[in-house]
Amino acid sequence: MRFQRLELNNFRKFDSPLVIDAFDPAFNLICGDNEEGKSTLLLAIQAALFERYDRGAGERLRPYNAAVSPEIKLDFSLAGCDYQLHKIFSKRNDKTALLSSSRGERWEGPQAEEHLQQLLGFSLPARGESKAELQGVSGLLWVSQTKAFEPINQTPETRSRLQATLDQEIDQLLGGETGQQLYLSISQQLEQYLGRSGKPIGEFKKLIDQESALDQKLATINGQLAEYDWMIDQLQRLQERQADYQSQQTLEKTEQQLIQARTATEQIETMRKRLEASSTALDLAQARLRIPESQWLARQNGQQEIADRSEEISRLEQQLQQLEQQYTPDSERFTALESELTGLSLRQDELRKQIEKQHSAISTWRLQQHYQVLSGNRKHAQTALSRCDEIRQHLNAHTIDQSQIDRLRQLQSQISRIEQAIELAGTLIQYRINPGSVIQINQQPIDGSGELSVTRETEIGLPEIGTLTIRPRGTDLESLSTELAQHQTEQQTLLAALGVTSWEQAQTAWQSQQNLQLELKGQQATLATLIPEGSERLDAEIQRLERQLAGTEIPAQEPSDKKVVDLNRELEEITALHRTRTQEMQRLNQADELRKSDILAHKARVTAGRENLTVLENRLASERQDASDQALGNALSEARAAVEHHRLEQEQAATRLNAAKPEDIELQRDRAEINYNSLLQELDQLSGNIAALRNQLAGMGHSGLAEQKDELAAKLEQQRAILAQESRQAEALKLLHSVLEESLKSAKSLMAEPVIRKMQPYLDILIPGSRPLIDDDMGLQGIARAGVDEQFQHLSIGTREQIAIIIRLAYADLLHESGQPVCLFLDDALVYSDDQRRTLMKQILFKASRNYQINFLTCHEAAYRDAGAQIIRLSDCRTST
Amino acid sequence: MKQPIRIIHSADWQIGKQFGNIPGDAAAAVRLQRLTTVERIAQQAKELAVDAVLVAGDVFEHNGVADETLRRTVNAMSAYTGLWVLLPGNHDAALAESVWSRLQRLGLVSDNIHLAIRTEPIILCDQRLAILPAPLMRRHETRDLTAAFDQMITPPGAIRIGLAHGSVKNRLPERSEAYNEIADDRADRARLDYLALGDWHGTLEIAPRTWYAGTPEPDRFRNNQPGNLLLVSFAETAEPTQVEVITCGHFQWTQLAVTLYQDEDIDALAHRLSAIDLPERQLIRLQLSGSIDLAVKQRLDRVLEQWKARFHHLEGRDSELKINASQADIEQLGAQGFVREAIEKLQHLAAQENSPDSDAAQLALQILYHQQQSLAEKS
Repeated sequence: MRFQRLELNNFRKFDSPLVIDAFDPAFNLICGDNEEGKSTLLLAIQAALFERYDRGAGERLRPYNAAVSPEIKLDFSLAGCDYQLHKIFSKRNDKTALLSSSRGERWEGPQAEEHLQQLLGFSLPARGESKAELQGVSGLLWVSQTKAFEPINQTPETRSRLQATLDQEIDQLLGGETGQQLYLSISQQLEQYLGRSGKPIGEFKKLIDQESALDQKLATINGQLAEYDWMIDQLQRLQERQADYQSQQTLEKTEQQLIQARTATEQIETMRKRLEASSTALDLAQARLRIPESQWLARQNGQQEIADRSEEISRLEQQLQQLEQQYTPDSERFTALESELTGLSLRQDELRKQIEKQHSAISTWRLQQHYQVLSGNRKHAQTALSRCDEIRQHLNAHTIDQSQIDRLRQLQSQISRIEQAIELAGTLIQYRINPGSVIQINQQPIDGSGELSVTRETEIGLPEIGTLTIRPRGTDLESLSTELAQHQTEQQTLLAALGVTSWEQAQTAWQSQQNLQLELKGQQATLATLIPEGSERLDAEIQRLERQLAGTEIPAQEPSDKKVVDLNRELEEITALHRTRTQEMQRLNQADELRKSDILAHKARVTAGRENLTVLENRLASERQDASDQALGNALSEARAAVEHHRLEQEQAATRLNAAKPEDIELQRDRAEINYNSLLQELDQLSGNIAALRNQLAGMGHSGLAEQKDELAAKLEQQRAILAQESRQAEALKLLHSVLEESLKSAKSLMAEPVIRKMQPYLDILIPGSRPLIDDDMGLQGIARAGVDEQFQHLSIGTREQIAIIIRLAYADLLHESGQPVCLFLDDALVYSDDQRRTLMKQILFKASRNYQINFLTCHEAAYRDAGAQIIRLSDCRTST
Repeated sequence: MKQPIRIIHSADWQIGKQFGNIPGDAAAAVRLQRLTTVERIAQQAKELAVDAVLVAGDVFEHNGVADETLRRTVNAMSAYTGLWVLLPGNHDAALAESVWSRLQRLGLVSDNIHLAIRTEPIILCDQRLAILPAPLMRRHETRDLTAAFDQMITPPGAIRIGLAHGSVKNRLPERSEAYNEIADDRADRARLDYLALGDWHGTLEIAPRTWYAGTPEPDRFRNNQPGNLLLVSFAETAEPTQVEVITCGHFQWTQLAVTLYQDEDIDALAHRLSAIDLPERQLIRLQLSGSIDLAVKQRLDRVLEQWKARFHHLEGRDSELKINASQADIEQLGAQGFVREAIEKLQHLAAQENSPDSDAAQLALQILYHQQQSLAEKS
């Protein structure tokens, strides 16, 4: 499909007619500035082809606020035939839809639109305006402004169109109609068994649940039946045990054993009573023995205590005698220490006085030294103050300020410069006068040789020859001379004011003034050091020192500190020795006191011991009068004999009891009791259990557990058989579906191949080394480069708009090859591309335009001028009404 | 001089058996039939006017059958008012609590019914007939209980009939269980005129004067001649004991081995099935083997579906039957593109017998084939 001519009237912003007379059959660059109507042009072509002429489109498409009907005339060629389309969008009588072909065919009104629909394969909107999804291939291939970088949304219509280009190939891949039906049917069958998550559903799930429920029921019944069987076995065991007891007369035998054990225990009990009686008699005899024993012991203790006391008194007396012999006070040492301590105290006092006197001499010496320093300072300060006054007076009399000397320096510099300038501007005359001859220069006689700079009109009198007048014509000598004179006058005035006659004198005077100022600062610094707090303060300090020194004896020479140190050291030694002797004196006194007190204490103890002994001897004598030692000994012997007699009796009774092994006898009795009672209990329990089991079994047997179990087992077996069959069916369907799905996916992946085949050459130009990623529905997913898959949405916006155009070119190639009407409109589709990519895209578009028409709308004419396209400028296409 | 005596020897009624391997109503009918067969035995005994009917164990399937089952069994026996001697077997051993104690407790044991629950002779018919029972007092007995027969004293001239339940040592055609054994010369050792046995479900003379009556109503797919009663006659003279086999069973359980390879084999199978008499009394198991393609399998399924309706029960066991998609099947499917690729994958999977997906793949091919056929028929 190739557009040939377009004419618009009353269309949106084109309120004046717009005519594009001749589209290039291959590649058109439609240029226009922003807001000039490029997008409106695309809209107009879409309206012409896809909008209904007799609905509301007219109102939407006409210029704003204008009661006119939009009109479009569009010429195009398709499949070797030329067509002319004329539409006026209106609900009024002027509405028009007219399609005619170069074959002489003609369609009007709705028929024209229907035929157009057949030719281009699109759908007319049921209501409202046409949308991209209704516009067939054009909806896919025509790119509106700012949409180029968006993902490409294929509609079912366009997908079908694209797939139709590969109809036969795809049909084979997808197994034809039967293949699709089979896949659908298997999918539906599988859905009856398994849900999307692969879990059983519906009847299949019910079967599984039923099987599980039956299994559970059977387990319950089996449990009951096992219990029933166990109870039967238990009953059998209990009955057999009961029969054993009866046949072996176990109860009778156990009862006999118990009777024998009880008799033996009674005999043991008699022996135990006898032992208890003999033990009681022994306890009584032992109690009786305790009185003579205690009396005898008291007598023995009294005698022993008297002996112990006597021995202790003897020992104390010996110790006292030794202490008294050892005591002799050290009087000589006392006297010597007292004398030595007195001498030491006197020497201490003498040393302290000498130290004090030496300290006083040092202090007086230091005051005298300080006084002399301050007096010197006062003298120096008075000298400095006088000098300062002199300098200040001099400076006050001859003051040159900085500006005056600066101005003089400036004037001197300017005078020198002007003088040099005059010198340079003058005429140099070198002369050599013959000996004896004289010439006149400005009436001054000159002879010999020399040179002369002439800076003003000069007359040279040449005797006998005449006068030579020289007028230098250098640079404005006159004005220089005037300026010089002015400066010199000012200089002289200033010098006079300063009281000097020359610049050099002025400099000397200035320097002298500077030196005096420096000296003044130096004197002031000296004063600040000497009398920082002023001369009055210094005078007051000197007077204070004079008062202190008045009447004091000033040493002839500086007193020595070393003498003080030596005196102090001697004092410390004497003091330490005094302390030592004092401590020794105290120790001697304490030792003497201790010995005296020890002797007194021993004497007191001896006296007390003798008194106590007398008391004890008196008490023993009194007790012997009541009961002699002999009488106490006899009573004790009799009581001990009685205890021995009862101990023998008790030992005999205990021996007899032990020989009978009472614990064994009692254990046997206990065991026999337990055996008998347990047996009675067990027999009772046995009878009870047998009766209970019989009752229980009778009750359970009634219900026919075994039959119920067999019935349930049969049902479960059948259920399992059905479930196994259904599971097998489900597994088979799952496998079948999975294999079909996998094969279908694999087949669909082959559908992408034609698109890849068409897209790859373009991509090789744009991004060498990359390859397109196309999905089963021939949609663009992204590109792969350097072994990495990059999804479309993750690419840069520039790359997105570029490969989005390229995939459209691939679609267009496929459609074109299959004879479909193909034409591309790209409205500002490369706005994010850099120069390099734009250049490559121009190459790609040009290549594609060899097969079908491409119309590229842009506001950057210069950037696309070399695209190989015919340039159509909208501004050239506007005509007046 | 012995008096003439005639008895009916039966065994292994196993009343209460459920037949879990038979689905639905067919099993219920088989279950009910066993009681009907007991009625027929009673009727037969009455008609033959025998002196006694001996049932050699396993009268009931389990000691835990319902009271109702006990009642029905006794009712089924009621047509014959002569002597019944019922022996406990391994299924209904005379345990501390058993069908026998329950029959007594329920008052179902009339005077003409003797429960042989103790190992002691039962003297009947005016001391002309001595039944020497060896009841199982537990399910599995390691001793030969019939050894007690050797020492049992019976009235002079009385017919000595041993009544036992178990496996005759070294005689059964198939290896039997190692417990409840019976010496094969017990009849001689115990001077028995006849040893009436139960446990083996087929009718079989296992040793001299020693017979298994077999179950009167067949209950499994085993061709060992079940479904009979034995009429045993003891003459007045010293003539040998006469044993007559009387057919009694209703249903016939038949297992057929069928090998299939091609379409003609299906025809042959159909022919074999059509040749079976009384199909409504037949329970048929087809043990299928061989290797067939999808088309033949589909036909087999159709044929079996047709025959299922004619027999009381028909089942096909096809674990040994290989289903392969032949080239013709593939052509028949007319598959192309991804369907053809899927078929090839499934064929490959099905051919790998060790693969866990082999069976599923085989069935998947059948489903695919069937589905394609359905689509073709619809179109």
